[in-house]
Amino acid sequence: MVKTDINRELMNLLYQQDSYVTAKKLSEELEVSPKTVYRAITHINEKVGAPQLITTAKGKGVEINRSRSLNESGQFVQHDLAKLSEDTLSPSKRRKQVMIRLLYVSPRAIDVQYLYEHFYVSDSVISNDEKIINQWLDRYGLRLQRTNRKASIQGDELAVRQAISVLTDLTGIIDFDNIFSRSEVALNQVDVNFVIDLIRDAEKDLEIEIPYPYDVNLFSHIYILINRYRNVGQKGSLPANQVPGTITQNKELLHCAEVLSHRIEQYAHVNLPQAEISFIYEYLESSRITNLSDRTEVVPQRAILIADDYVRQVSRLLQIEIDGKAILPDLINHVRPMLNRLENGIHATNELLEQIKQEYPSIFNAVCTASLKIEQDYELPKIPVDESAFISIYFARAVEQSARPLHILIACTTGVGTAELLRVKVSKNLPELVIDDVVSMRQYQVNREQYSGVDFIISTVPIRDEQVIPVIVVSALFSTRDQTAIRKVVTKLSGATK
Amino acid sequence: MKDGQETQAVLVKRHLTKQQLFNRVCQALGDRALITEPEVAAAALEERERLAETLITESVAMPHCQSDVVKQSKILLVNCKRYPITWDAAGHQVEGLVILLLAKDAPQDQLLRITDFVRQLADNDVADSLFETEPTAADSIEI
Repeated sequence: MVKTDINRELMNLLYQQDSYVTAKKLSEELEVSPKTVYRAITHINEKVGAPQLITTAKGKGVEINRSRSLNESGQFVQHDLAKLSEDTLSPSKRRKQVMIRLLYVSPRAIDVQYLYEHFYVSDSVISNDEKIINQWLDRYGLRLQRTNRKASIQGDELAVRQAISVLTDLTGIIDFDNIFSRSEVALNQVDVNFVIDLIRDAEKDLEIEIPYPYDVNLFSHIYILINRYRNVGQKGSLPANQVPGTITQNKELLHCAEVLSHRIEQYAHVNLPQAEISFIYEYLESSRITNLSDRTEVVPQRAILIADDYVRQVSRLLQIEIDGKAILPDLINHVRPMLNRLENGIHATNELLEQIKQEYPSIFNAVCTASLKIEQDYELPKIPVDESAFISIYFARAVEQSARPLHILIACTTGVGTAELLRVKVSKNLPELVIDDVVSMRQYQVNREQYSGVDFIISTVPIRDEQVIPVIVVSALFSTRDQTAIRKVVTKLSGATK
Repeated sequence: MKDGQETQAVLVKRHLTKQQLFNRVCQALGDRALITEPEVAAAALEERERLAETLITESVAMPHCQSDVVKQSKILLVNCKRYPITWDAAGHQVEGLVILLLAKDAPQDQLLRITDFVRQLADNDVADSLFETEPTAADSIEI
């Protein structure tokens, strides 16, 4: 049996955490037992040597040792990960590969022995995989069917494509040039190049730019479409009842969708039904295409009403006055294609979802609540959290633009050494902050009351007895990590001051 | 060392640890009656490093302290390019040090001059350029 390696996944998870995380939580994320997590931690620490790369604290959990892993260029981290890699596949990656293979040939079945021949796992592991795969597929209304020695995935074509899209996970790809380095799933290079050319040509023909992430969505849709037809022919086509239908069609986009479909037919030697052309059209229509809005018809009244409703509801929930004039034009431009995506079941993955949740929790929660109400009031399909996160960005921007500047204090032991150096670096890199004073720790402790108005303190040394004002301890190098930590606090406080 | 001059060059002529360097520098100033208790000043520099390291570029650090035992505030430009000092657990090799030793009762105008000097070090090129050439024996304290 090939040794399955969770080390890399564990490291990746830990690098994403800002503080301690329990072994139980890690075990749930990795779908292994807490014991396995502890074994992996011991293994990693033994491999990389002293000082430990992963530290544990009683009652808190485990944390990556950032002083050990901290390196401006990330070289140390890569080095550590390289030591741990050993070219092995984690259980989740194995299941991902199995699912991708089954989904691409769905509804056809594949011999289980053939499916698992490169993984060298026991029947009990396969049986466990089946349970987990079925749970995962259930989210999309799909099911894993096991007949004798064969396995297949059954369900709607749209659901099959959506599941493939999620597993292919191109969310980290902002530029098509990174598509091979960032995708965790093997992609066919010839197909990839063809689809990229196709999209680039469409942009040229329409004299528009399809912005991120819609370009990646369209890429993903066409790539999957080609490979579905190639694997299962017409069994991979969309049923007639799933053909989308926008009442008012943009002629330019419709023509573009027809040209794209024709080129796909020629390339993949397939016949695409009308449903596919309509779907490509909907993908184009659902993209926030720049340069096209001034050429399109009047914005539907519904989009304007919904955007306006968002502004009113979020303002009420956050108990702040949001300037509608400043936010509405952009919000309407977002809501219009969003409505199209909702109608046609097109999922726009938001890569920044977790970051938005973390950085703008109150705004994000308010938008999600507003989304629920808007779904009901306008009889819309469920608005996914990814869409709410997109909308949150517009509100976060509005809130930040109208926020009062944050006042800070810079401190070090003497108030002359690293603190003065930081004053220059902070002014240069975070000009929006107002530096009230640069002080020594002693000056601060003696005159604490004088500084009660500052929003936070940036210090090169810990200020242990400060309980009220947030203190961000940074290095005199003022690294990117330091600046990110400050920006997080700025974002949090900007929301709180409103 | 000229009396009243704030900046003093120091040339490191052997391999030293961080602690040894602090001890030797403070001892040299003690010999010149600029510090009354060299070991107290060295301990203050070490304590500051213990709180947080003072690297200001990849190869320059700025240890500093303010203490009663410092009789005259000084900026020491320690050139250790020939014998770099391993500075931290990450293995940074420091080739130059800007040591600030501040007297508790340093006059305001002197502090302002030191502050102006420190602000210039926010530009990494300025900080690194301080140690590009070795000081001459006549201009420096050799340790």
